[in-house]
Amino acid sequence: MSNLGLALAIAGAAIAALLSGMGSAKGVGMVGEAAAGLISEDPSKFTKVLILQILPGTQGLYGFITAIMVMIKIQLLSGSPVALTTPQGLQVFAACLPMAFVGYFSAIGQAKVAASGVSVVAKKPEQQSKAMVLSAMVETYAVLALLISLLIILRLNFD
Amino acid sequence: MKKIELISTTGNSKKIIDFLQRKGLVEVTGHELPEGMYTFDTSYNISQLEKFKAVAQNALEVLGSYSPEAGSLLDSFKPPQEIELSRYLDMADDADLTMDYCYDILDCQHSITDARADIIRLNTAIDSASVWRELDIPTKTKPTRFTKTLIGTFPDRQTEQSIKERLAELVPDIEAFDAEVVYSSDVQSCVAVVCLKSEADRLSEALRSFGFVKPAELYDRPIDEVIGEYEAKIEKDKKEIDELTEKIISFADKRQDIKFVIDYFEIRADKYEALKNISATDRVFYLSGYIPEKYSERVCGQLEERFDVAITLTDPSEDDDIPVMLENNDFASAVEGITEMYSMPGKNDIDPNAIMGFFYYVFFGMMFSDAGYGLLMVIATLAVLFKCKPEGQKKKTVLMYLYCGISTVFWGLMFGSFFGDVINTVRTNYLGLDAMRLHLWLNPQGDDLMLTMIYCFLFGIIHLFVGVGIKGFMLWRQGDKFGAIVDTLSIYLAVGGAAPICAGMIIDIPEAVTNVCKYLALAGVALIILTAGRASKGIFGKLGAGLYALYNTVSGYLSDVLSYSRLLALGLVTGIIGSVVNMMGTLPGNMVLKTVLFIVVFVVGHAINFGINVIGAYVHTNRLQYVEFFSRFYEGGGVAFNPLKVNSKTFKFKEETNNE
Repeated sequence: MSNLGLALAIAGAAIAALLSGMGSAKGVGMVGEAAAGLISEDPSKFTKVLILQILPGTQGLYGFITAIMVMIKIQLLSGSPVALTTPQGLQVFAACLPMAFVGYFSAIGQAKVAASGVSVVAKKPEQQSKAMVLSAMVETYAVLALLISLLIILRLNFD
Repeated sequence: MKKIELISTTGNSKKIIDFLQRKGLVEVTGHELPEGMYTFDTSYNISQLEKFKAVAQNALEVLGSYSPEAGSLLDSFKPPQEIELSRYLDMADDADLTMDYCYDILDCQHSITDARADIIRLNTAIDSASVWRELDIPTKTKPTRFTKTLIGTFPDRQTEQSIKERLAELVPDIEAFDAEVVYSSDVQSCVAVVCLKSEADRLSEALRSFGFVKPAELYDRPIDEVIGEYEAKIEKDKKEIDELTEKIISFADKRQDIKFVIDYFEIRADKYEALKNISATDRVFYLSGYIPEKYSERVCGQLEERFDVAITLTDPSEDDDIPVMLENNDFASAVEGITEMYSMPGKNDIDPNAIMGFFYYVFFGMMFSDAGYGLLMVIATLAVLFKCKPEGQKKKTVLMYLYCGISTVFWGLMFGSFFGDVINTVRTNYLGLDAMRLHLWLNPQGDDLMLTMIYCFLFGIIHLFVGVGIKGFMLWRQGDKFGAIVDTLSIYLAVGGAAPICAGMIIDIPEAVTNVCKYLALAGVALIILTAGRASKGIFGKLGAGLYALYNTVSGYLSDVLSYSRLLALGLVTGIIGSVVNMMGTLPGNMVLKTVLFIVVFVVGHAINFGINVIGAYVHTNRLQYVEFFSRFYEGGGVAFNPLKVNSKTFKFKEETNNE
């Protein structure tokens, strides 16, 4: 039995967690910097900007879910993974790509909006929800990518 | 909403404004200045009041930083305390006294800042003096009869050896001197040189040539004594800071009074702001504004009873910017905040809250979709409602989350998620039982994934159709009955007909149904082409606009309906992460270790999952309402009714019973 199939599937899980995680880490960091600037002026707005900071973090979570779903699918967690053929491994790998790439770029795009949202909170704290909604618009595409990745993974049949 | 106009004697103006402010039901608006009248210029009073308010706020902040206010999160939901008008007037009389406390607090804070700066300055002085510690004579020494002491520093490391060698090169004839290095580091060496008075100038010049400079400050006492003095001063400053801090803390019992004066100044500033909008002669004044119709008679009756006034109530004209006040039952008013965040209803709009609220709760529940999390929300919101009895906007927000929580419990049960799959985790790990079916209706994480998505689209289409229906209703009400029927019907036919055909790609739809739907969809498309361009001129203009509208309908509805897939996606996220948390907690084989880890991972993991997904559900539910739903019919652009009222955080007036 060749193990290339399994390796490809694991590579897919890894890249989904990796790129989304990187995007979110960068994004959360960007908003965090902007938020820290505001907090140095006005510490009372901490909770408001914290929520904005969390927003670009969801992509990392979606990537994590995608990776976990792959691991469950190929029964990696149980210790005896499914013997995947190379094409099957490629299928899993391909399924992970939407989440991996859209996750990376949407996290950064969302972070830019959220960082601008921090300045909204600085000037008009009562408008924080609007800043949240603007930022969440970008997340739509991460949600769609997650859905596609999950749909493919859940629908794949290795019997 | 009624337009209210009021005339009374100028002497009564402040009393009437006071009364209206306490009632909080009249928005005083500006008007064209009638001839022969003038307005009150209250800008100076307002800026004074704002200044006092700022002082009190600063003092409160300072007080808070030294003596933090005790209070739980729950307290922030509690309604303000009720007080009688007479009590308010008593407290207002004491405002000057409270302001004195505020000034005292700020003075103390000022002195503390000064003392702190002094300590920093003294510490620096000690640092720069302590390099001379090894020197047993004062740095400022008088020459003796024959000798002179040169005190100074080099900007590098020097030793007695290196100085002597250097001097031997520069001034070989001078031999009668002694150099002592009392401190030496890479960046500074402190040196005392004793030499003959007659040779001092030449020697000093030679020393200067390789970096010798006099210290900035010289002392005529031994250094230890100087440092001792500094330290004594620091002690004194520290003691002063302690005393001042204590003094500030002693004002802690005045906190409520300070909060009161902040409100008091705010109320008075609002009053003067309203006074700006009335016009007056020396004898009478004129006020105009808006009052909600249902309160108008009561308030006018009370006004006439108390004051000599002439009041007219009229229906506002179409051209006026009539302010909007939302009024709903608890179920719908809970989401008023969400609508207000988007826009207040405009003139032609209906109040969307009742319908929007229903969908809001349903969609929030589908996205959060965990019965356990929903239960936590219900318990928490009920606890707040019964323990704190919040009022106003706070009550609405709590109610909104209560309804969202109930819906979350419902959908959690439907989709089989209770803290993820904790029931099955416990069954398989601890009870030795097989996993059981948890879902009452659909299992989106298993076989029913595609079916769940179809249902999400179906709910989306219902949501959109309701929006289209409201638009039709609005058109009908405005008299465009033909438009109301064809615009609504064409969309219903086209989208309603196309949807089952699209769904047929994923699930089985009987052929008979798709056959009928085909014709329905075609009829809808034809209706759109024929009627959607009716506002354009010429037959080709109408057809062109119709085709364009068809394109917009197809692309718009396709993307809007697909957008509802987030209902499934976010629901899956909550469920899957919840299950992953449970799985990670039960990884070890050892029963004791497993149980301990499981408890920790369960609490922490589900707390994080709850936090992230409640934010996700909130923003994405908002998005579905704003982008998909409101864009179908809602015009918005209304101005919120903003009555002159008592804007107070710490107290509210008891409903007046006595005539004062």
